[in-house]
Amino acid sequence: MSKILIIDDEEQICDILSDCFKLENFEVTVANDITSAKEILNSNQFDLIVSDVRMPDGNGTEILTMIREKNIPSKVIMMSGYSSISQDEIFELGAQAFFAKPFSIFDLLNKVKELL
Amino acid sequence: MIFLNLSQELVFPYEAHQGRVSAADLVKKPIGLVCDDLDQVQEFVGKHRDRVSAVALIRNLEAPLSLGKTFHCYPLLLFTDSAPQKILEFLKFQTNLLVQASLRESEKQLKEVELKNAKRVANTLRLEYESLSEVVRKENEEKLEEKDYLIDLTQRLGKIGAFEINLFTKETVTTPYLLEMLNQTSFDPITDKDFQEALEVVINGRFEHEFEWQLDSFEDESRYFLVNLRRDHVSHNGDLVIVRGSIKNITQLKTLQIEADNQKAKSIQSSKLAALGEMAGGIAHEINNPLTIIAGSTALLRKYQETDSLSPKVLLKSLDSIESTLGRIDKIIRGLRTVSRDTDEVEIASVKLDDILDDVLGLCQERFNNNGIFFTLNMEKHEEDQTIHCDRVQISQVLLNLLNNSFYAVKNIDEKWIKLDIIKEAKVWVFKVTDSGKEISADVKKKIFTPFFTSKPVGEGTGLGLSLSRTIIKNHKGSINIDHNSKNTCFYFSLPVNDQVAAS
Repeated sequence: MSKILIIDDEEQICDILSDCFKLENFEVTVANDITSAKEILNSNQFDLIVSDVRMPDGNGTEILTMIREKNIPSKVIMMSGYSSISQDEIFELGAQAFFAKPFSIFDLLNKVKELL
Repeated sequence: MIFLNLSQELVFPYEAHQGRVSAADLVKKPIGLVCDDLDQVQEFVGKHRDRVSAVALIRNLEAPLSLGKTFHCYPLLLFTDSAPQKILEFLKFQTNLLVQASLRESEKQLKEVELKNAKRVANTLRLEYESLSEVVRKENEEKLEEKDYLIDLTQRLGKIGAFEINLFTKETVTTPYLLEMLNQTSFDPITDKDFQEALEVVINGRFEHEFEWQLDSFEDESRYFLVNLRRDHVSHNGDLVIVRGSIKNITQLKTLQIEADNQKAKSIQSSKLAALGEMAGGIAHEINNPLTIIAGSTALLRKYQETDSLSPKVLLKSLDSIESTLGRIDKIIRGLRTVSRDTDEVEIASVKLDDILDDVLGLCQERFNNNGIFFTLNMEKHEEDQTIHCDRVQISQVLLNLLNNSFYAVKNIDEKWIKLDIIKEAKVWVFKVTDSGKEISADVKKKIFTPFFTSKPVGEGTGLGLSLSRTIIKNHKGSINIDHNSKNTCFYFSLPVNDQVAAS
């Protein structure tokens, strides 16, 4: 069973994604900010990380940097509602996919299945 | 028979030559004859015809006593048989006459000389006076001309004309430039409606009165004038007789003012659009998140349904989630609609403080959260009415503008916080926006409320936010400024508590 970490300060988004992934039989962990996400990553391994970009305590790209620096083998899907976010930068930092909010849950699920 | 030779030299002392006149005596001068013996005279005249210039016949030396007056010839030959006493009397009389005549002559001559002299002096004086007065007159004329020229020049350069109205005779006198300026051949303020009203004001006792006068009699367009009237002469019974005044052409100024007003109205609109543009990105995100939640919830419901695992509990949870998220979107849209509303008309009303906060915070709070900005609202809860007498839209705009400025100041620095304090003082509501942004330099502080001044990079700020905010707050009879005592950047504005606020 693949393990997924969801990072978003919007609790409702986390809930929905969590429910969706669970219905597809993934094991899901949720973090509502960057700090707790980093803590979780320090002691857990995930097959996939789905993360928001802008959060109150930092930027989702910090997770990409952390993964690269610590050679964590997780794949990453980034998502954001900001149109000003540079997708090129996100891909350069090592993300496998980017979803602009609002997006279709089914598209996201397809991408998740494709990556895992 | 005595024969007397009376020559001028012989008048004093009297000397009489007796005997015949010798020829030698008669050679030198013409002679006159006075005698009472016709025969002797005839004989003498017969001998010296060519020498005798006049002959008078006097009997007994009695006849005419005025002899001397008409008998001015010397030597005077006197032929007589009269007694010596009579001759002496005659001679005395004759001498007197001569003396008197001589005196008269002298006096006459003297008088003539005096008169001549007096006339000459008078003439000289007159000439001198005339030439002098001519110089003075010319000088005065030149001075007057120069003054007239200066007055006219001043009027032309200053686009100002002057006039005098005699209320008694109903006559008006104007400077030449006034008519030129008004493009009229005559100026009759007494029949002009605007002037009549203004004249009433000074007639009723006001010393000076000023009013704006619009003339449409020009080909191109209306012209505007500033008219000043002054009571200038009051008759002995207290009636105002003379009103003097000036008319200044202020068309250029007025046109500029109208243009500036139009420009200002346009600036307000463009600034609002720019502020909206600045916010658009942030607002899109604020709506994108809730939309993701709604889209996700519906997709999730479908998925549960497809897998036959939709429980009433899940359904309710999803519906709640959708409803609350819709509420979030609604709040944002409401705030957006309020802030972007065209506010040409100021609507002063009693506005709940909470409504203003809903409008404004709905548009910023999520943006603050997403950028890691710690936002706090400090507001004392009062039991009494929490309303402000103001234009809801405009005050929301001002508050949003201050919060946006703070957002811009802190979004890219490490320590990010924005604080909004709302304090109700005795007579005013005070709104304070403080942020952790770096201190504003004294130079920027000086110009910060100036229209079009911005410290943001080109294209990012219109420079109108604070200047328009100041206009709005002034119209509300409030004040807006930087708190110079604050350690951090702090802008505050105050609004009167009571309902004395009037729309301008």
